[in-house]
This record gives sequence, C-alpha cells and structure tokens, in this order.
Amino acid sequence: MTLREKIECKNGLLFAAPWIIGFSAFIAYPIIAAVYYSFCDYSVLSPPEWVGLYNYTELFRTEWARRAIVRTFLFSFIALPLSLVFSLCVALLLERRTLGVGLYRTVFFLPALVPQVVVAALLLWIFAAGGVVNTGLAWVGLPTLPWLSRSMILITIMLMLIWGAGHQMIIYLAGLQDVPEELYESAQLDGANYFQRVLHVSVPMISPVILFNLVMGIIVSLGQFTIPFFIQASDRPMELADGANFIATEINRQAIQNLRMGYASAFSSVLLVAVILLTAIVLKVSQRVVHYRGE
Amino acid sequence: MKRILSGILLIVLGLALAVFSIRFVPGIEAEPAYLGIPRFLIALFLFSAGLAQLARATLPVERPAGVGRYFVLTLLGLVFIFPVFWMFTTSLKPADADLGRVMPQDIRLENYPDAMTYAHGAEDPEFEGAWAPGAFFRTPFFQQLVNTLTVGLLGTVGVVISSSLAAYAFARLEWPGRDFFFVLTVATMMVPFAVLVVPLYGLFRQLGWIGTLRPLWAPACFGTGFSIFLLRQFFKGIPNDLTDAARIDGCSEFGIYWKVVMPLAKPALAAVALFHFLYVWNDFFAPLVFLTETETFTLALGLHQFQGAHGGTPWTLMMTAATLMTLPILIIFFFTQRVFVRGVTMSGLKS
Repeated sequence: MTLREKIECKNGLLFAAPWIIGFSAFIAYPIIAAVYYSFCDYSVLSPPEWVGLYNYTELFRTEWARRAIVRTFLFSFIALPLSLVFSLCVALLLERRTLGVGLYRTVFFLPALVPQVVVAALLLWIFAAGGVVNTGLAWVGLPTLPWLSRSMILITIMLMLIWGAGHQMIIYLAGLQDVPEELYESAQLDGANYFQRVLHVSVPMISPVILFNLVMGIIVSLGQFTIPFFIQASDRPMELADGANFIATEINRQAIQNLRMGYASAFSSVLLVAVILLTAIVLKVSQRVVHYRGE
Repeated sequence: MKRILSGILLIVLGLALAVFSIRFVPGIEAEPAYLGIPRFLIALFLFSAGLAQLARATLPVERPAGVGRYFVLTLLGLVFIFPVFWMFTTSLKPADADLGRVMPQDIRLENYPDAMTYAHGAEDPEFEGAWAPGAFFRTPFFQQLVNTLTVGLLGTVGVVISSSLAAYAFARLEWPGRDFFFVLTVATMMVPFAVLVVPLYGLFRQLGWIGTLRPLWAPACFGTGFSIFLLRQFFKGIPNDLTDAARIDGCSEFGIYWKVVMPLAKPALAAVALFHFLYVWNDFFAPLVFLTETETFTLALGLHQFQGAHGGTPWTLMMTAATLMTLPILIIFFFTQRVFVRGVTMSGLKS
C-alpha cells in the first residue's frame, strides 16, 4: 500500500465515521436486538429472558395476530399493483406535450404532499356514513356504501393510498421523458396503435423506474402505520379496529401499550424477513424482465 | 389566431357554466342530479375542447393532446383536488355543519384560534375566542410548531453534514469494505421503522431520552441511507478534473469536500434537506412512541389529539388543524418545486 493509498483509506473511514456509528447504533443494533428479543420474554422493565420459539407459536396461534399478518400481505399484493398501474396511466396521460402540463402535474402530485396524519383524518370524515362521498354517490343516483366498515375498510385505505401516490407518477413522468421519440415513430410505421406502443415501447423502456416504484411501494405498504392507527384510535366499533389491524399497528399495540416487547419483536422479525424476501424475489425476477439501456 | 380566440372562448364558456353549476353542488341547493350532471359534463367538455384548441394553435409539437385527454385529466384532477378543497371549506364551518355538504353556509373564522388552542382533548378556556395580540405564541399549536421545527431543523442540518461526508467517502475515496458497506447503506432504506421500534425504545429509555425530542433528531445527525444514496449519485457525477486540480494545489481531502464538492452539490443538498424536513413534518409513528409529554408533542401528534375517545371528535376543528398542518407544506412546495421534482426523479432514475 502506498502512502497515498494509506491516506485515502484513513480519510475514507474518517469521512464515513459518523454514518458507521449511526448505522451501528440505530439500525444494525436494533435489527439484531429485535431478532434476539423475539426469542425472549421482555418488558423493558426487566432484562430479557430466553423463551425459545414461544413468541412465534403464540403469534401463529392467536387469530387476531395471524389476521393482521395475512391482511398486511393481502393488502400490499392488491393495493400496490393497482396504485402502480393507476399512476402509470396518469403519467401516460400527462406525458404528451399538453397545455398546462405543469398545472396538471401539480394537481396530481398535491395529495402526495398532504401529511399522512391529515390523509388519515380526511379518510375518516370523507368516507363517514353521512359523509361527502356517500352524499355525492346518492346525488348521482348510486347506492351509498359502508366505507368505514370491516368489510370495506381495506378498499377505503387503498383509495387513499392511490390518491397519495403522486411520487410514483412524477418518477414515471421523468422516465417517460427519456424515451427516445424515434422508437415511437418506428413503432408507428410498423403499424402499432397507441396501446401497442405503450405496451411494447413505453413500458419496457421505463421498466427500471417501475421496478424502483415497486420496491419502494413494498416497503411502504408493508410497514404502513399511520392510517390504520388513526382508524383504530377513532371511536369506532372494535370490529373495525380489528379489520384495520396491520403488522405495524400490532407491533405498536403489543410493544408500547402492552409492554410485550418480545412478542412484538416476533412481529418485527416476520416483517423484516418478509421485506427482505419479497425485495429479493422482485430483484431476482427483475433481472430477467427489466430492460436497462446500454446493456 | 382564430384557433386561439375560439379556444379562449370555449374555456371561458366552460368555466362560466362550471361556476354556474357549482351553485348546485350537493347541499347548496336542492336540485335533481339529472339536471346538474349533464350541465357539469358539458362545462367540462367545453373547457377541454378550448384547451385542446389552444394547444393545437400554440404548441409546435407533433402529437398534441386531444379533447378526450384533457377531459379525462380535468375530471381526474378535480377528483384529486377535491379532498383538499373539502378540508379547507370544512375548516370554515361551524361545529354543527352537515358532514355531507361541501360549501359552508356560514363562515366561522373562529375555528382557527379554536383549533390552535385545542389541546389535551379540550379547548383551553383561557383562550376562549382569543384574538388578542400575542395569544398565538401561548397556544399549544405554537408549541407543537416549535417542537416540529426544532426536530426538523436540527435533524436537517445533521443529515446534510453527516450524509454528505459519508457520500463523499462512498463516491470519491477508496477504502476497504466500501462497496459492501454501500450495499448495506442502500439496504437500510428497506427497513421499516416498525422493525426497529422495540430495541430503539429500549435504547432511548436507557439513555433517558423518552419524553424528549432527542430520539427524533439525534439519529438523523448520523446520516440516513436515503440521503447518502442520493448524494453519492450526485457526487459521482462531478468531474475528477476539478478535484484533482484542487489536490495539486495542495488542498486537503476535507478542503476538497468542503470547498469544491459541496458548493457544486447545492441542488442535491437542497433536495436532501427538503426531503428530511418533510419527513419530520409527516412522521407520526416515532413521535407517538417516543414523546410522552404533551409539551413535547409535534404537529402530527397534535392532530391525533383531536380524535376523541368517546364520540366527541370536534371534526370541523380537526379539519382546521389539518389545514394548518398542510398549508406550510404546500407553500414550501410552491417555492421549491424545481428542487423537489428534481430530487424525486434523481432518487428514482439513477438506481
């Protein structure tokens, strides 16, 4: 190692030092500790006690808990593709040089700026039984729906999620702008109609962007907390609280309200493994599907 | 020229008809839907046709958008803007207003001071109807605002400094384990807070930080995976000639970072700062877990306090508080739109 290399190595570690410390203390340590606690009986007040797989068997035996896990995955599997497709459609609508495209873009991005707590509060009042959505439906002559009931709450949350997915649209738009115009022209010469051009030119060309939105979406939707928590905290029936229970809200309930930290950590571990597995699968599959330019 | 004029005429006609039909939006005037809906759709069509005309006349592009596209965009846009609009109009209504109405019948501006003084599940009688000068600075809302700004500003300064240092190390220095550690850094973006919350609670309890604002800004001062990733991508794009020239001039590594790279990276740094600040403004889970005293509550927790436990949620006041919490974000966005959009696309495109 030359002197120059030695200095650079020292500098590199020095520059990265704050992050190395922060990473170890606030991310690496908590992850390891969460996995360890998941095998313990732990209440913060006393040191953790090893109980083996007890928390996990408990977790899969309790119906309420099992439902929260299944619901979280089911919700992500349905809501995420829908929101990805919807924001892609909006981006495609906006992509052509339209007059006032900046204004439309702002309008569709605006909901993404609204804080999550406000989104949650809006959901509870807009979709209330006599709320403005039902009033509108009745006015148009459609049947009103029990949006805030156990059977429909996931759909309601999904609508709010799609409403606030403006980042996805902005990222799509940026990707679409990079698609060379010649590709569309040659596709048109080959006799491809609009939908064929979208499907065979736009989508493959922006597949890396779709992948990015998908991976980010997995993380956000599996870890979502604020909206379900607001629904649970509202003075609505217990049944609804169960219907809107997700992994993150269950972790909060068990760890912070019931001080069952070990049990909550079992949930954390399940969530962690799920995120890692899903991301790994998506990335693996994407290697075959995603098209990177210049390769 | 004819096209421009006819386009403008159509837009004005459409808007006029729309304003006319808004008078009949549900709850304002009882009117059967079969009269209102067609009129509204015609208004929308006129407006879209006008826009399409204008576009055809003024934009020198090959594939101008047609009427149908504008029609769908405008309709969808109205649906998207509606909840925010409803939130604002509701913030002006008296407490006994009809949940299903859009426009307020009587305007009650007192909602604003009332929402600011609403805390701990009740309006503070001391502030009843207070418009007195200086009263604002004693409201719980002001305290929550100060708390949020404290967390936001301290964290933002810390994030920018630490993340840029780490990003510099990842982008421009050679050291053992660098690439592996960078993969780990990117992977941290994928860890939901719910995974970390239990051990972090234990850690902060040990440090005596529970109930203070420290758990919310101190970790950010060591950097975050997302901002490091974003800055590294940007630093990679700065040409080596610039830094090499400084090195030949005898500049230290820190000097190069501080005097050459940082000034060039201003747009990326602005995006990182903005994102972190918005993240703090939005954050609900962490404050909920780590803040125990109402004096340390952030705005997000303050809004949650409006949720009455026993059927007593003052929903118009809640919408007022929600408006107060959303407005600053919209104002910030208005002034930083370019930084913002560039930041969002930078994060998504260069992965």
